[in-house]
Amino acid sequence: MRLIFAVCAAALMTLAGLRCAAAAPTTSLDLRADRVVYYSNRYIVTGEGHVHVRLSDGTILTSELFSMDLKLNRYLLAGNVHIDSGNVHEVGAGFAGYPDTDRSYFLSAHGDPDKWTYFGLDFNDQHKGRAQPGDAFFIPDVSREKPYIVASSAMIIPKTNVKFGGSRLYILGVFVPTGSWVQSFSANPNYSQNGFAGAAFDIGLPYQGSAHAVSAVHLRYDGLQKFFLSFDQHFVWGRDYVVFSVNPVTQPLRQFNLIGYKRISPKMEARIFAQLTTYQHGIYQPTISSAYQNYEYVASQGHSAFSIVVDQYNPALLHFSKEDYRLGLADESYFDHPSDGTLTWYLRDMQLTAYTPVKFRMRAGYGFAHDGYHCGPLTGRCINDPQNKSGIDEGYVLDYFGADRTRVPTIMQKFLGATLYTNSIPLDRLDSLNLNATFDKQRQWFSLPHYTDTTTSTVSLSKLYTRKLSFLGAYTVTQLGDYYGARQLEFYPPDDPIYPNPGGIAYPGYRAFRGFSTTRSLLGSMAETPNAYFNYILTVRRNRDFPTPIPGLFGNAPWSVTNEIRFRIAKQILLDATRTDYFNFGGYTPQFTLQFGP
Amino acid sequence: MPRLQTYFTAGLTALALLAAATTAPAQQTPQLPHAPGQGEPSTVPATPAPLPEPSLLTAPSPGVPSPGAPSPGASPSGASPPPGSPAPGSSAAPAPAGVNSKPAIVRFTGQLLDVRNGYVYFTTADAFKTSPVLRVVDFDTGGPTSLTPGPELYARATLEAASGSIVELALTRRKLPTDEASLQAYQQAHSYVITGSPKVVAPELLHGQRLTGRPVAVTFYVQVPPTTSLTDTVYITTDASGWVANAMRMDRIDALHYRLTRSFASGTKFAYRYTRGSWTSVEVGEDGLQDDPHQFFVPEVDAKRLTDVVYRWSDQNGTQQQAGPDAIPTPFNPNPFANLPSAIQHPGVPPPSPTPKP
Repeated sequence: MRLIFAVCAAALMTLAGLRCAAAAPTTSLDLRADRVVYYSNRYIVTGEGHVHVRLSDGTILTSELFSMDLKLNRYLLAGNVHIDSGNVHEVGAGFAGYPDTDRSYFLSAHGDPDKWTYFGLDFNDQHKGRAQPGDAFFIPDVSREKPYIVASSAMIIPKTNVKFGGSRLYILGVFVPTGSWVQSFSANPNYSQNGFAGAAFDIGLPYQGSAHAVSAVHLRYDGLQKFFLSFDQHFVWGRDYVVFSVNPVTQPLRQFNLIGYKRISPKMEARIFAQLTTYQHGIYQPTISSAYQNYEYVASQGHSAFSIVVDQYNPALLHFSKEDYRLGLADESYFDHPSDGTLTWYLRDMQLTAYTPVKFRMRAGYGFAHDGYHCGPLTGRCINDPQNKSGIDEGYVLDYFGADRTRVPTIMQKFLGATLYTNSIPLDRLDSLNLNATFDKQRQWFSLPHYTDTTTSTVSLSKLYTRKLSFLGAYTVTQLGDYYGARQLEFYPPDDPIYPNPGGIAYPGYRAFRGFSTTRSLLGSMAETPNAYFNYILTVRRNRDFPTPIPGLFGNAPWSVTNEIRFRIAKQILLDATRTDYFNFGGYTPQFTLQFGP
Repeated sequence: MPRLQTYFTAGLTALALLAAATTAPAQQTPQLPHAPGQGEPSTVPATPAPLPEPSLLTAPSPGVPSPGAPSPGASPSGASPPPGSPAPGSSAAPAPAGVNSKPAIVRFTGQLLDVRNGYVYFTTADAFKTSPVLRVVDFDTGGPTSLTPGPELYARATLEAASGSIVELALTRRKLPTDEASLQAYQQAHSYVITGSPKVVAPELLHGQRLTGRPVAVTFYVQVPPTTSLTDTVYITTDASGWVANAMRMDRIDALHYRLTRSFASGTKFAYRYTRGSWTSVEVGEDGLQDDPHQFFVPEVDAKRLTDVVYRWSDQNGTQQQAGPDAIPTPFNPNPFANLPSAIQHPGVPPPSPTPKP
């Protein structure tokens, strides 16, 4: 009886296994061959000689040739193909796998030639004679392609990445051994998230990967730290991701970053960014250590969205005592833990009235800033600060709360803003002449007799002469007001401040500045796109700023002309050359940039 | 006990039948008429629609020309006509008059998949019988060759109509071109294809779209948020460009719209998003949440226009000024004047020193 039940259970499990196999395509292909090649331009992996492929269910496929189009997500084995799966042993001329449709196509050489179709990985059940795609056994022609990676093995995770073993990378005409290399081709952009600060040069060297993770070393360069190595580790699960990085690893001034994203529900998401900055040699005790965390939570409800953003600053994580303070090794800021947070409400775009082409969107919020300001090197040292060498109270901004204050109390703030705009309003019958207008205003109140206003108004006219030639003219006025009421002059005193650069340039235009600035900008541009391979854009801009800008330091040049040419110099290389000339701006040097892109 | 075993056997048989019924094709259609030379039914697409997923830079796999499906054109990315296509010079030697309307010798070309057990298989999935005395020669010289018939090689096959078998294979590594004459020669040879099982329709292939990889002018037309500065540049980032944030730069055509026209091969499928040059300024949905990337599939048309709307940029989720620490020149308004220095010194105030900030 037990034997019967055992057999019965085994039979049921076998059947269940077959159903599962049929339902799930392979989740990986472990490829080994005499020569494995990756053609990056075509996203094609090939294997030649003694091809051995192990599917995720344990099925072994062998052949003389392997080819997989990573983007099409289909693979082919050709020549002396053997299938070994459980008790199935088949011989054929070709095997084509289509994981997306959960089908495998086989040209059987057992007896007379025949076309078989397998459902999923169920190799026990051949569907003989069933129609197959016309190009199922098409061998991609890569004879004109340059190999990018040559390896001895490849672990292919469909739609995600390939980990090559014994790989050599084609760089500047030579194949450079890399040991292992992970090539990502995922359509999921979350693999591209990283927490690195900017660098002038960055080459990622992904050396380890799986279905949900990629580890990479980065060779980077910037003007301050020169060449250095960094590290990042990605974990991606669909929309969710976590990225940990150390940048740089090889220099003492180091940042440890953590980025996380979680889609809590279809209408909620949460993000975190945490950063630890240290100055330490190797793994020795750091001499500087500070931290920053940013938390963001967004939820959507009806026509509204809400976000909560919280920042937490830890300027000094090392221990400091009053003695350190007395000796000048620490200042007030070292004992603070500033934080701020804002709850924001957004209203989606709404039509102002049914009869006007004007839409509007609104926003409002409420927030706090705690321990944000104190006596210190940035805001000025208080009179009792041992590092105050001037003998005067430098913490002038704190006087607002009383002369003996060393910290500003928690400040609350609220804001309300709205944007009114028109969609493109056609002014002619051909819809080639269009008018746009945008008006944005926001007021932000603080828990003091203080508020700021920001107003931006733009009107633009665009003309499309043909599909290849277009013109745009726009006029923008931006006004900023920083209001302190009766104490306005305390915060914007009528003096000639110095811009803190090595030369100590004075800022005479600031004398008339009372906290209200206006920027007017007239812009005209022409874009000529005769074909998909060439593009020319001319932009002329006239700016009038108050307060008067200082050439080369800040503010906008009164006149600027930008010429930009983009043309395709190869099938996958676009050259973008841009030159901007400034006029009436103290002979400021023109900017020229050259950029290559895909 | 024997009765129990009988029940058990019957139960197992029923389960097996049930399993077979659920895994069998939905339609066990009888064999379709397969007239010699007609090849695949015309309803069977060369490439079913859900299958191709090439990238911007990847040539779509064009359908291999079975006799019923002409050869696709070259794709913009340099994909050449598919293998298995007959070559110029393929010919059909006429049979003696009055003997048979079919030629005695048929020559056609194609790409080999395998030569095995007395059959030669082409990448069209067609198998032909080989003569016991199969000659393997060099394609160019007609003399002996060091090549061994196998995958990837191209061959000119000489088929003897009387025996219905291939008597000679002329091998080359060189890709053989395609023309109308060679297609016709292949059609003639197609009547000698050996198939073991009767043909069964695959319903999942019936509604496919035939894709040739022809260049299609695709215009991206996007409306940006009204808060987008006139001096901002908008880019398209795609999976094919490794999600580089500034992969394809768009042209501004008015205050709210940007445009870009690029040529892609039909059948190309890719995912894309709009950015302002970095991943910190990527588009977010109207609900303020991170959206999935847009998906696009290039159909078999002359031109295609895509219209998208970006409701917000991720770095413009609210324009309120955050009152962070060390904010100057005023304590409660970090940097209200973007065109002014954030560290203006007033007389008597020492210069600020930089501190590491995130």
